[in-house]
Amino acid sequence: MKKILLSILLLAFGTVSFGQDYTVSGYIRDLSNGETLIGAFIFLSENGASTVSNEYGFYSISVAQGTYVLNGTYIGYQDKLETIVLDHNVTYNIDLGVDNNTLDEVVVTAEEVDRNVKSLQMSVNKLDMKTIQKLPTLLGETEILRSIQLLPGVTSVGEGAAGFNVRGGSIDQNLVLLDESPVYNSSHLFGFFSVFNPDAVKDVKLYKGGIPARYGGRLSSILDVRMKEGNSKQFEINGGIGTIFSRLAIEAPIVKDKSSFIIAGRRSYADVLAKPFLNDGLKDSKLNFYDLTVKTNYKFSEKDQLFLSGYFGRDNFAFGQSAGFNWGNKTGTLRWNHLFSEKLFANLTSYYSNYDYQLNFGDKEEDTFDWNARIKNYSLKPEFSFFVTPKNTIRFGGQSIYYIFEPANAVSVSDNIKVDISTSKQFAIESNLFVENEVNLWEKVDINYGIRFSHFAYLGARNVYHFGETPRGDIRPLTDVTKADKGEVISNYNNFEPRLSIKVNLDNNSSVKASYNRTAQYIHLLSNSTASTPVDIWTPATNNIKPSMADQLAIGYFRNFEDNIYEFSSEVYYKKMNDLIDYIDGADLILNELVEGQILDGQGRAYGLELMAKKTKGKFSGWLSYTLARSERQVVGINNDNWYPSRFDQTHNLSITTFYELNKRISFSANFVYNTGTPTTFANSGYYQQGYFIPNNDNNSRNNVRIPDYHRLDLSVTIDPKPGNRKWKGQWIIGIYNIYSRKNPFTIFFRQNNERPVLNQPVNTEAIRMSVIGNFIPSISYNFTFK
Amino acid sequence: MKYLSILFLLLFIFISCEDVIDVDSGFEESQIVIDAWITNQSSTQIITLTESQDYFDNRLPTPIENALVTVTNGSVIHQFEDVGDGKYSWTPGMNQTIGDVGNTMVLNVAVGEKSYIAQTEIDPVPEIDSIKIFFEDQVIGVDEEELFAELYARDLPGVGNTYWVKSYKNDTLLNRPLELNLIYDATFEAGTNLDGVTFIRPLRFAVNALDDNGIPQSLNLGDKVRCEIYSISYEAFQFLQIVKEQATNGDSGIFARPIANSKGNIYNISTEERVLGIFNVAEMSAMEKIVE
Repeated sequence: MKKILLSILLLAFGTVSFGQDYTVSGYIRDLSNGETLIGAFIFLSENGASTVSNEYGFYSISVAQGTYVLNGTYIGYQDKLETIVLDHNVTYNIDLGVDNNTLDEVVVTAEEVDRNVKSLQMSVNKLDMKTIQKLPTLLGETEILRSIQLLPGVTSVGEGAAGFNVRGGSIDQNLVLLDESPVYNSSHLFGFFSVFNPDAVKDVKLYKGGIPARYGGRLSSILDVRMKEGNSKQFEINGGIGTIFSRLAIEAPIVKDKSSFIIAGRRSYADVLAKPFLNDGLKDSKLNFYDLTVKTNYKFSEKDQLFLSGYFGRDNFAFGQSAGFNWGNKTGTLRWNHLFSEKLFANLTSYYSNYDYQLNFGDKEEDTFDWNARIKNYSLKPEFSFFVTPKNTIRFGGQSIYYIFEPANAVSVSDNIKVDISTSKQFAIESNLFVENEVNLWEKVDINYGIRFSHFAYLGARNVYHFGETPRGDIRPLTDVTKADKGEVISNYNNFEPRLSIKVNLDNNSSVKASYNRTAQYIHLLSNSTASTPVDIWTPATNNIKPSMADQLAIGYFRNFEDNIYEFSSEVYYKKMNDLIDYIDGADLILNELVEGQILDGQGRAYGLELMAKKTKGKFSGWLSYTLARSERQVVGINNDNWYPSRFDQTHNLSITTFYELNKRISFSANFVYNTGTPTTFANSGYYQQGYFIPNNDNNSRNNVRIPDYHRLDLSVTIDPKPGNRKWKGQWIIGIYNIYSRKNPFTIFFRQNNERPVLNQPVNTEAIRMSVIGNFIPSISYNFTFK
Repeated sequence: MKYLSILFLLLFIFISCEDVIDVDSGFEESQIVIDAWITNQSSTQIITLTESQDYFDNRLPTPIENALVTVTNGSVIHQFEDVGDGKYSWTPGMNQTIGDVGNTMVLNVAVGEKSYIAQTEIDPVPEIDSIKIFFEDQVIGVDEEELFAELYARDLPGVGNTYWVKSYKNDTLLNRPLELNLIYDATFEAGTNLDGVTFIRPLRFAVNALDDNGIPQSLNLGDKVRCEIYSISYEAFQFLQIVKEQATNGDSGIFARPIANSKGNIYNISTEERVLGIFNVAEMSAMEKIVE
């Protein structure tokens, strides 16, 4: 162990030169609104020393004494060159002006132009908000979660399903972060729209593999969504009227160049439209969803800056007074950026996140049912970046998360008798420590290696259940109940998660990258339906449910052509997952104190090839992404213990996204998607019992039949405002979703005739192809900016 | 959670679309099905033997005849008589029933070389307090104040009582899968600490007939409502839970659950494998009410 530590230290500090070095550091921002730029490329002309700005727009380069020309570049902005005399440490903030020549041009890449090849990071996709806004969408609503499904390796079980699947992982294996706070249900209206308001989002990044040690907690991916800080130069209003939402976002400086805010809200108006169709008894019906995103910041000095951001969203459904159902997330993040020195950047994040839902039935006092459930957590997360040299960065830090799970607080009043049928709360602490080092070893080789140590403790106070063994697939009987006191550790899990990424430049235009990561996941979403529902609950690893583990290996070849106008990337990956959860037949996952006795554990494997070709600029641009993949599961007690494809397995997945700029004002975009039908299970026989016709799956197989392939073409045209510095700028987006009206099946199910069965007559059965969207859907939306 | 599925359903009705298609079910061979839901009433008890069939056959099942069917209560063996068409019957004599609450009952079936066995116990049922008829306007899909029935009965003390409520409207059995009214203590499922109280409202209300769209149908003056509570074993309860879930799974749309087989309690003696069907001996309580 000592030797390993020594060699790591050597590697980390080996490239430190001990001559007289000075540092130039600062923030890189948009000149027009003061927003920091994430992932901007900064380099020195003289020696090529370079860096990329971090999540807060901070950069730091340390080189020998001398005079240098500092270049700040970011796609869509004019390059900025500044001569810097480095005979002491210099603080230099770079303000980039928007490049008017490319103002309205669609640019399908962000950050520096050759990032595809030059960046060490593989298996990462980044979508620029400008690109996302130009994509044709369902009902004209700009959608982050649906946009990322146009990228290789990202799929969904079908239209309207909540969440997304990354490289064969289930939806709960994605850590969705909004300003570092986890979002436990990222959907509005089940799965049609995501909770992210496009007006408030600055940057979207998806890690599918090669996950750096600073990220963890889920097996398959990290979706890192960062919010805008708000215009620190001038007052600005953005808004829009769409088919589903109306949006309004206000941003303004509080103290010019020191403090600003953004407040962005959206509300759907389906209920306003539905009102005339409701009868008297249902007059009080509700059907709406809304969200509010706010952020503010204060810059105390160049060394200290504070950010406060929050999200609040809710979906509301009520049918008269007799039934109501609502759900939503709340998150709050407080961050403090502090510069200990030009080389040591620190960030302390604390967040609160809460997802809850409420259901109530019954309008008469003597008979009601009220039920709510939530997952809540508090976290503290210090993180440090030490920019040793341009070729060597060390990051280290840790995090602690306190979880409170309330699976069900429920009170049933039946015939005036009140009974509390709540299930008991669960508590847990997840902690981790990490260190990672990114270093350029030789000219052509970059490496990021790191380790994450994670610990999870399942805590009292609560009853601890112990279950006996049964043939797998049956409910396990309760054998003993013990009591754990408040704060008492019921079960403990520790894991070391090694991470490694390597990049080798073959020449100036191509590179080979490889990565390995181990990830641990200590909380699971209990969901047994094809698409997850808002009432699905999260559960921690307990004394009966183990945490899941995954190991992923990926190798890729990256190449750019013709001065980085064309980008090509190819990756293969293999992911092995252990201790995934599944359920016994007919499992009852909600309002069940003993749910742990109905959970099975299994393993999974996913592997595939991902190809992506991009044309990044010009009148005609876009990308083509193709994935050949397999995602499988094996659970004792399911499919006769054999491997079977997961419900979201898609062999082929192709998407083509194109943009065409007709002139400065009018641009077109189109996307085409195709994927192999997902697998499902059919009953093959049926039998009668007490007059009921009961479907049966004779072979006990799982996911043995595929539904027909999915394909769809969407078009949209964007009409931008006339160029010029007018106060009000309006933009029209007209689109058609599913232009050739393909009835893409979500699933095929078997159904019995819905007429009342008649004695001595057979029950008629049929197979139904169910499409969530069976027609083309036109849309029109209007967006505006007022400054 | 019936209400919940209605909420989800309403949302998807508006946008989704469904087409009937031809599918090959991949059916291979038929298996024996034993339908042995009997009661300790003084009426004739019938056990039916049939074969399973292709899911899409859309026909009545093939009966299995010439089998030997007995139900044993302690040392007393009741021979069920082959009355043709796969039906085997036994009629109790005067003041006789097949067994009492607490008795262990054993079913034996022999078909050719093969023999099957099952065991169950007779559980108690609560008396029905009343059937109330009332006006209601807060029913999803119902426009005005209309008449509906509610069954009032109180769960027996002790955790784990399972019942099947069969209801009739004007002598028509409410036999849609969605009308399967299954009760665990006083609620839908195990895992809550509800016990010994009046059945909760949705279960009391579930004695009303549903129409083809699953919407409760109101009652008219002169209608007759009959409710019967049967005690069923936990195995039979789970069996019917899965029947209800699977037979109506299509209505769940994108929230459909994976296919699951109902697990019976009847075994092939030589292979020790489960066969299709359930053996349950119920006690029953009943009440009728005419809407006035």
